[in-house]
Amino acid sequence: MLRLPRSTDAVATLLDAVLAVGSELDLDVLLPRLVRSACYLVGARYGSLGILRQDSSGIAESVTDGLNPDDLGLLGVMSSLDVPVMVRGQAFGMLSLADKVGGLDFTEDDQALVQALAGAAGMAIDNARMLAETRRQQQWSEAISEMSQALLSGQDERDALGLLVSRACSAAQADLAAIALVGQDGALVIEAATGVNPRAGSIVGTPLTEPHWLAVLESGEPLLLVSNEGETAADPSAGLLRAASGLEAHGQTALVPMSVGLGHIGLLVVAWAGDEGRVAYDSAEPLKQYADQAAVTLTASSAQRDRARMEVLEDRERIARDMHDVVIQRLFATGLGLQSAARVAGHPYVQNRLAEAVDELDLAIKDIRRMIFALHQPATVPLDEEVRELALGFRAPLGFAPIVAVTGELDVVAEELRLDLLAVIREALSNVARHAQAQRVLVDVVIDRSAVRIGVEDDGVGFTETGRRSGLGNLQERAAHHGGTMMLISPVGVLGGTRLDWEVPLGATDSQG
Amino acid sequence: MRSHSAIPYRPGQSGDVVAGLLNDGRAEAVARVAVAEAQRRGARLRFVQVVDQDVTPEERADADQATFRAAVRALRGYRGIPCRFEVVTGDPTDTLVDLARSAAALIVGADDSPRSLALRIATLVSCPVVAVPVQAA
Repeated sequence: MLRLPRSTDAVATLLDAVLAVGSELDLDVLLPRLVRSACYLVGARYGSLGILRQDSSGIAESVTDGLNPDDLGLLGVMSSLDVPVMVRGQAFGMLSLADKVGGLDFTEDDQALVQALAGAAGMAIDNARMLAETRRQQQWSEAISEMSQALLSGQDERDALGLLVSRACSAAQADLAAIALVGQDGALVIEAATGVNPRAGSIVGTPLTEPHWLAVLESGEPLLLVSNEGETAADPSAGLLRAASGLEAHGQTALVPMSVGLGHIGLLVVAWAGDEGRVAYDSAEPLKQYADQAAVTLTASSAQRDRARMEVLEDRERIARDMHDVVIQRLFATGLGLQSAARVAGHPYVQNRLAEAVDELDLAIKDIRRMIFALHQPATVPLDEEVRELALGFRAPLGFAPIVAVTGELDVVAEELRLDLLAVIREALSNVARHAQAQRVLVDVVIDRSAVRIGVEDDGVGFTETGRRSGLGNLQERAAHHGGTMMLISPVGVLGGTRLDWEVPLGATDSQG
Repeated sequence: MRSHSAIPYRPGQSGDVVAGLLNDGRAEAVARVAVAEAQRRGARLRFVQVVDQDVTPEERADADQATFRAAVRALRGYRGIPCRFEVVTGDPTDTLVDLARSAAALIVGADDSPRSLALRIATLVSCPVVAVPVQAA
């Protein structure tokens, strides 16, 4: 067993070295410190720690201190000392010391000292690894719970997906994270993306059609693609996506299917730039857990929304039934009563008044019938949601998401006007995307009893007469058709910017839709 | 299945394990052996599909799809193995010999002919060459 050297000086130095190594919890600091301490302990000019591969087939990496005697061609000539470093009974690496000061040979005492230090280092390495693993797990479990809460809290789905990718990106210390979901048409489309490069946002809306994406999705297993410096992308499809989001080809890309049971609802794509392969490697397992949890939560929240929509439908059904069975029957009965009363009424004035009342009741019944019919129409997406959806569709060409505010009585907008309203916003945003070079766009829709007002304001370069006429003429025509107006103000502020005001009155022209 | 190597993968630390895949129905068996080898070595796994010069773009795409799927199936259960996928046009022997120069190991399918691909390659490279036998159907 271990024999400690007799010299108390040596023991004191050993204790210092053990403390120095044992107090460190970061492996990147601990290992160089171990090598330096070992050199100091026995007066070696050169030290190295060769870390073994898992299968002990060779050295995975080395940590060195001092001038490598191998490089000087002196190895074999000078004294050397090799001591294994064991972690939990397994060989972790070999601590090699060489070139003792004064050209002396290493003594048995030296060997005992380094063995003692290596023993302490083994425990410190184990601690550091466990701590790092615990921290990583903690980060991931925080990310998972935050993401689940966001998805289930009923907030806007796009915001929740944005949070989903940004938490994945930060927990994985990645440079890009994107989520692609399988739509109703079976296509895989990127729904949210975030990354260090501002261009990351521009890949939102990109369909992932190459067969490799679908093969990974169907396999349900994460795939880690790694490309070294100087190489092309590790997979052509992933390479295209990296390039589109502003990442170089060289680096790591994890494709992680999001699975619920045996089905897969989408792919989480996480990418790292450069050579930091270790973090990508360590993230493969937690990323899969994260993706699967996200899949379950997304499915649950979509079921929640379906349920809410179902409840609305059921409510409408019930109201329609009540109106038909109760209200109309009662009005009908009242009408019949009035008609028979009219027959026996002597005075023509009374007869006329009763006939008028019956006509009114008939009209009321017709109104109610029309409402019941309207209630039976399939539930359409609420107008504010539709406007928001449309505006967010411009996130890619604009490079940012427009700010959207829709207020007022959304139900009063008839179908024809609704289509025009959406067309106007689409045209206005596409103008901003093409010409304005804006950093911000505000879409403001106000609906009250008298009018619908749309305002689209940007902080871009301002309006110039050329090039934007055709679209504007179109907007003008649409306004005129509803008896409304369109106005373009530029600059809106000191620095430029453009504001489009489009307003149409609500009333006679559109009451029938 | 949780499969974590104690040695973190560091690019450039060692040669890759190269899986030479041909669209001959044996790609998955070759890929399986390559996956296990890469896992054991903590090395990157490079799937190289070699196609003839005279194939049409459609045939090339078909071959790429088939072997990619085979590789993905072989990776099932192994997480965090760093991979790379390439399609190379050329002669299988020349291409694989070229790739094997910097590789830690080369995995190819075995065939019965006395001048088999694996044998030809093994005489020309210094890294271990694994010839995966055809599974009896």
